[in-house]
Amino acid sequence: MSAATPALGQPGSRPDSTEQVGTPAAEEVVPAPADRREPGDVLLEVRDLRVSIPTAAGPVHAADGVTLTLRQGEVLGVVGETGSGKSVTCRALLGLRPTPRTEVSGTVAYPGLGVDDITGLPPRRLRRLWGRHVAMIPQNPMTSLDPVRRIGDQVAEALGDTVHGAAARRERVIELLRQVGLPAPERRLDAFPHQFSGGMLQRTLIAIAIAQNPAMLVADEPTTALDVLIQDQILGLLLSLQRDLGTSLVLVSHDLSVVSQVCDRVAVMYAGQVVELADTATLLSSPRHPYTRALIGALPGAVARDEPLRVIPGAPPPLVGLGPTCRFAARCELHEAACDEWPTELLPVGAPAGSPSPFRPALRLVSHQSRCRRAPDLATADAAPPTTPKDQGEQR
Amino acid sequence: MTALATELAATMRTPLLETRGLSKHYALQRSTRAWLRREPGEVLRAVDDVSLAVLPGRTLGVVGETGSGKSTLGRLVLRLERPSAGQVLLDGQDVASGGGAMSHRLRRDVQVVLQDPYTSLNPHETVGGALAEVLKVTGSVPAAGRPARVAELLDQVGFPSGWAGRKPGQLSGGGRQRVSIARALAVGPRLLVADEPVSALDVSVQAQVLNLFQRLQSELGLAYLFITHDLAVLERIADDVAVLYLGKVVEQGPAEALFASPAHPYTQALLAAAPKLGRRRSTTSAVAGELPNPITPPSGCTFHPRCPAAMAVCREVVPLTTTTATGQRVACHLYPGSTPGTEPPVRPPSTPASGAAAVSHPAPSPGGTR
Repeated sequence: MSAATPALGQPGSRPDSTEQVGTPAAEEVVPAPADRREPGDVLLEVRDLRVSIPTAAGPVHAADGVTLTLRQGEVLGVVGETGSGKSVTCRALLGLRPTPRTEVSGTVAYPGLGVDDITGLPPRRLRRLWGRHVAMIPQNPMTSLDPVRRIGDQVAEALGDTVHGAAARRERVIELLRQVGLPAPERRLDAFPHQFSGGMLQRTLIAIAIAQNPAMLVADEPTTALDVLIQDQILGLLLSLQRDLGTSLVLVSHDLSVVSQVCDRVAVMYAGQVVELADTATLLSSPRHPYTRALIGALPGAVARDEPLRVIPGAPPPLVGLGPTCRFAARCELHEAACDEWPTELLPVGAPAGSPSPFRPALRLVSHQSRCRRAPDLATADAAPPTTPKDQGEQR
Repeated sequence: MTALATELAATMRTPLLETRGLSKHYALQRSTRAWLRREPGEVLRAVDDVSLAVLPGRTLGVVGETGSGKSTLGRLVLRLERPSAGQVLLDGQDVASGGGAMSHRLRRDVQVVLQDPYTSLNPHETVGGALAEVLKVTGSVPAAGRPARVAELLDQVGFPSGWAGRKPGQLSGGGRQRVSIARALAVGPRLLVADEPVSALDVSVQAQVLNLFQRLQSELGLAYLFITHDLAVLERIADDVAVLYLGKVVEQGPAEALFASPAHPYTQALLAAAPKLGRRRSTTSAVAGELPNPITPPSGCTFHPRCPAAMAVCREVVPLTTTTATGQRVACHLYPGSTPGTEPPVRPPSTPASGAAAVSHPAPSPGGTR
């Protein structure tokens, strides 16, 4: 586990996370649809994505230098707390901005689709991408459908011009709804959204998202509004669709447990930045950023009942006027004076790249990356749990 | 000192709060046509024959999905709703029978922490003002002593006392929840009904608030009726757990036994479905199907349409509550003694259900009116 961490004050070159492309092995990923979908090929490449929203207090940098790649057939989790920029980042992958005056810089490219950069594209051009190549599953199923239009019509609209003829479209809609596990879909076409439960609405929204068999799905907290048994069903459904269709999936969630169950790789976001990126097993077994370690330690099941839970003292910084140094420093238990001098950058730390993913051998691991200056120290500290904050960590 | 008090109370084992056969049925509005035809109206059985007990200084966790009746149960205990049947007992006394003095006592002894800290505080009132108002209304502290008591309360919940002049809009979710807890503590209650108190909070803040709940319990000897949908939180905080499904308790017992060997198939499904860190999931799910319409619940055991272990009898007969070998009270035909008219358990249960009062059995009646 050699960590290639550069000297203080001069971050090394940005790790090229696109270097290894997994051998397109014959795997269970079922028939390649319209576009060439080989598991392992780079589908999406995000470089230095910055999204800043103008406010009275100055520009809010909701995403600040996000660099990510997503391979065909991969499930990438994006985890972060409220205000970490995870939703803004993931919407930016589709070219969506929170407000019209929001400034977006950096590149969001889809090499797998032959699209160079979508950040500057007008909505007219983006619409060619949406639905057909990339689609989104929104967070709140209760408010995401038109309340006065019938379910069947709303799903049919999502077919675009892929299916012609009323009968054929109806057939396809029924097939889609059956695919997402809606019981008796032929009897539900004329229903209105208010007649559906939350789980049924989320299934409908997933049907809409996969209607044109897109290469990538972005699911923004798809199960947060649902009960645990329905959440379980929807996560199972997303995974089975992802396997059957070979779709890539970006799963945004505040819940590390959910993400760790489903995703091949996880990006942990804090204050608008990806602070750690690793394949799921590596991230859980040897996190190399103090924030990730703290997040894992704060889960209700992390320590014995008679011990207080480890908490993260303080609150995340406001996303206005932040410098290049570590944003977690004020809350970090490993913080040193030198941390305030060091511009952070997502750099490789150990974890040999190119080894097969334990979950799906067709995918190769990208190197484990962390923004922490002291990431190598964390490698040795893996065995020892972090110290409990002095005051039971009950600051506001 | 407080540890001793807790221990004393636990040895006495008198439930601080008990519900006996507590039910809340809402009559739904009838259509004019149904009214003219004198058809009986539909009834929503939000809480149906629930018998639970909270011991002093202990935490009873109530878990259930949306529509399971867990919040209604909390409201019944607080007497924000009048029960359709059954009783709520405070120290063994029926709260409905005691008149004004009793309801006064209930307000002092039982307080509430609500789910959403963003809507449960007056946005125009400062933190200190909100707390002082409680002290003023209850008349427990004279005007001169209020600022000191407010500071003490804020200190108790780990809220910076210099922030007493702030308004809720200037606080984070965790900060607001602390204020809500301080407000509940202001009258010196013995039981807090906490309805999803950490569900709206981020993981790291949730950990802070859970720690606070546990610290207050050990310092003040508080008992909690902790209502949540989150099993991980309950496993952390509850001493006893009751699992609600469609208004009925399907299983209850000591938390340790219930999490180690869940008896009811519904509890098993909940535990299987709860996301666990790093447990790689498959594409299959714990149970199929959705919560049925609570107005027309399934016959027999209401869980039978979704139950992986359903038998013929489950469709017909409402299961009685019986005790398992591991000490849970469970209403499921898989366990001997739960099917009416069959042999009672051959061996008497080895361990009595801790803190669980005897559950009166519902008469096997058709579930719900059509």
